Amino acid sequence: MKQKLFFFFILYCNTLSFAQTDIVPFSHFMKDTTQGYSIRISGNYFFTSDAITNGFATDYFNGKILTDDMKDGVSENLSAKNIFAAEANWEASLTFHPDTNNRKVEAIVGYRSRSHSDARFPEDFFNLFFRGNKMFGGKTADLTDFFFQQYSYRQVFFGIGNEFTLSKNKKIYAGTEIAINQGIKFLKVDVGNTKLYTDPGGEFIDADLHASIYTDDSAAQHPSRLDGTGYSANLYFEYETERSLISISAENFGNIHWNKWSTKVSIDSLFHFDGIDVRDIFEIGDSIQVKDISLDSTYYMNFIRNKSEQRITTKLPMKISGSYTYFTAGHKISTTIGVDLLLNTYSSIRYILGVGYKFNRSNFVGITLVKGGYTDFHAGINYVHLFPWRMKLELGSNYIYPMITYKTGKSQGAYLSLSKSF
Amino acid sequence: MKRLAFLLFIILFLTTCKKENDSAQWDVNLLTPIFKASLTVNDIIGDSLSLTAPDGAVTLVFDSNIYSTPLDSVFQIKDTLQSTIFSSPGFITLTPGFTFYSQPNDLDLDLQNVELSQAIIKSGHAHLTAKNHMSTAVVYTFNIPKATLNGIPFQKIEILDAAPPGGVTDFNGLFDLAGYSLDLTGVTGTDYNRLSYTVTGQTSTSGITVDLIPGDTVVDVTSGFESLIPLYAKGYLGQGDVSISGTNRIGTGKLLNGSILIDSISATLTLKNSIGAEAQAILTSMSSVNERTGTTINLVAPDFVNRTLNLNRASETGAPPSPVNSTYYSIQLDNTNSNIVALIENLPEKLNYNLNFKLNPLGNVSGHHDFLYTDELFDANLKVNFPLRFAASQLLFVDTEYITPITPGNDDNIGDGTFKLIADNGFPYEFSLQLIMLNEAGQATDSLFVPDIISPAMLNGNFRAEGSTRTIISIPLSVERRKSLLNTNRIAVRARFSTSNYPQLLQVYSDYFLNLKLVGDFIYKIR
Repeated sequence: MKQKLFFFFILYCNTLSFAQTDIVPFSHFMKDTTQGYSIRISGNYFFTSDAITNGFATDYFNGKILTDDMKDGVSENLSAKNIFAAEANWEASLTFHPDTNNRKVEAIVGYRSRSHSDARFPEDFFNLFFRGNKMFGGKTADLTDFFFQQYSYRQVFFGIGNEFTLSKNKKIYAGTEIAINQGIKFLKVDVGNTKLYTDPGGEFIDADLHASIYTDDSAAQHPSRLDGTGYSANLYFEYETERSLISISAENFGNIHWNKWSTKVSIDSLFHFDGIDVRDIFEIGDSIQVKDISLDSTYYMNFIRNKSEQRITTKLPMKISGSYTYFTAGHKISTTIGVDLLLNTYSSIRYILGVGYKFNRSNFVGITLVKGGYTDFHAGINYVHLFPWRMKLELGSNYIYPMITYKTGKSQGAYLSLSKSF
Repeated sequence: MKRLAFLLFIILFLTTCKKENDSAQWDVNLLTPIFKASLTVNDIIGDSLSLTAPDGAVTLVFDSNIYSTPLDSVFQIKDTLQSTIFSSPGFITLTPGFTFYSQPNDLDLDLQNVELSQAIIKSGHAHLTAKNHMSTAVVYTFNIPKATLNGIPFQKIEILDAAPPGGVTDFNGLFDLAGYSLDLTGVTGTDYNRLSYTVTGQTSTSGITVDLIPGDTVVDVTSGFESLIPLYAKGYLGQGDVSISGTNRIGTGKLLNGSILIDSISATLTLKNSIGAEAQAILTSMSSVNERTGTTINLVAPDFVNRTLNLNRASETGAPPSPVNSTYYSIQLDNTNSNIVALIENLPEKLNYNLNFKLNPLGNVSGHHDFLYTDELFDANLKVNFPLRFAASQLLFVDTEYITPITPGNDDNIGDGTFKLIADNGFPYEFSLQLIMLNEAGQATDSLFVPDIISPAMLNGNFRAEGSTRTIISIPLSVERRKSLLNTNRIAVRARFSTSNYPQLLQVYSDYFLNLKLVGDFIYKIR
């Protein structure tokens, strides 16, 4: 009976739970009063965009050559404003019942590593960056509203949850986690009204630049070599009946305070470039030997006027989600609808529809259909297998559909979890 | 250039997304200005070498000292050293404080027909070498009674320790005479070129009594003067007669060929005599030499060439050393009295001249009151005013420069492309410019700027250029060609220009300009 109950909860939660800022079906609660401990190692990654194709993104991250065909594939998807996001996480955790007399209470401790990037970019930005300014001869490239942020940080977290029994078939699970954040790296670029005009013959380039760049203490000047610290919290709530489950959560609500050696650079300048002024042109030997002049320091430092070191606080990407799951066929089939919202990013509201089927006591397969977020429609499959000795494997991807259409698809990702209870 | 890309696009942001040490690569097409240069007449010939009239007409002014008389062409003081070795003729006892040697010298400076009564030394020294063979210390004193510095006669005293048994002690020293005033009238006070001095030797008053036997060396002294150069000299400077053959290179060595027609030139040759003696100068010949064509044109100026030019003596403004009132003699050469235009139209690399210079042609008329300051003797200055109104045809300048090969390094990301040289020419001249890369053997391996003609500005009815004419020269630059350019260590520059409407003479105006800009249209490999 204990084993049946345990397995029920595993499948039950797999179909419902969302974690991180991606859709990954790892449970927030152990929900197994028969076992004292549960350990888990898990990880996930995703890249999603409404414009950048999988082939382009993969080759970019793998350091390969980006051909014109690949750029053309992206250009077909470009609109006035485009977004992309990428994330890679892994964590290890231990869940246990701290009160041997009350198995409804559970606690969790763990360690998590997170890297997150997201951006919003105009069409001209992509073309300027990946194709050059020649195509803008006689035209103005509008780079306004380019935004990019990237965080790498670690979290040491601990939490506690409790099961409240309302009646025989109605329960409430509530839990919270507090994480201590260790900032490793961050970069944030916020571009205001920025335009770049290229003369049709290339005789001059005019730029109107307005941007702010924030970055961490890359020189690691703090004695601890930590670039930033902060706190964040997760809140979970689940209402469970015999045939349904309502789940609400708020995850990663917090921030990181980057140390006082962090840098803020403000660019607010008009820039006209019509060539390096060469004097004494007839002294050609001397002219050619000015090769050691640092062009960047000679020019761009002229319009980066406001650079300061200061403490910078950044809000972390957080997720608010809610879902409803209905079980049929003796809990063999589960159907879930959900919605989530990723804050502090340029993601849109994400709508989720999931259906799961339990083949037998050891195997469960689900499909997920998603619309919104950082990209368009995508669909995925998840699979859970229960090994002997209470070992569980969970793996899947929410982006099977765009990954099949590799060259034109605009999202990819996968997750994997291995856990054991005892 | 990768940094330049950053400058242009401010787009390094995304590179932070990449895996560490793992960079994607792609090509971007850049269209960007690279360098610009603006040349005006003043940039080319410099403010200090030009005069600009109110209407903007420019005149080139060449002002140069073409000859200065060296002192040794007037006289030279030779080094003089005299040695004295004296041995004991018998058994002699030298007590402490005994003067055993006192030798007055009345040195003749051997200045030939120059007779100086006074000199102030600019540099040089007295030299004393003394050896002591005796077993007591000795004191040598070098006196020049008629050499004074601030009224104090020259005197130097040197003490030589007692010689060890069978050995010697010695002194070898130089005494600076700079600033000393020398009375060269000798002991009698009526001679010339006489430098009187005395060297005395004395046993030390604190020494011991020395018994000498026959043959013992008592005196072993060498004294005299070396490297004396006067700042000032007075007396009779003689009748020096100097023939000078000189060459002045005039800076057209990089001009390979072509022809030029010049409207006019005026030249002023000024002879300056700062010597307190009469002088005569005769320019026996002057010629312009074009070594490329083998053409030599002699200056024809009847009022100047082979004519004796008498130069009055300069005068002293006060007691020496005081400024000198020099005298001047100027000769004006222009189209009317010479063929100087033809000399310049010959496009010479050099000017050759032969000049005879004679001092005191009438002898000692001053009664030994000639003088000279050696820093300023006799100078010849040539000032040429060349109104830049000329016509030129296919003037070809060639120069070769050694340059440091550039290691591609991070700059090796430039792919194939085409560079454009955009020239806005406000000169009424047609230019062509070619850069030729040379190998170690000096052979051309490639050239840039083909076709290479920069068109002239249009002329108005007054033959004055108006506005500018734009020429765009396309320079295809493949990766291979660029590498060749970067790796070359020698480059030849060939610049050719012709004035419009040759042989119409055209005036150069100060507002003429040539603007050059290099624009790159190339592939840049982002890595």
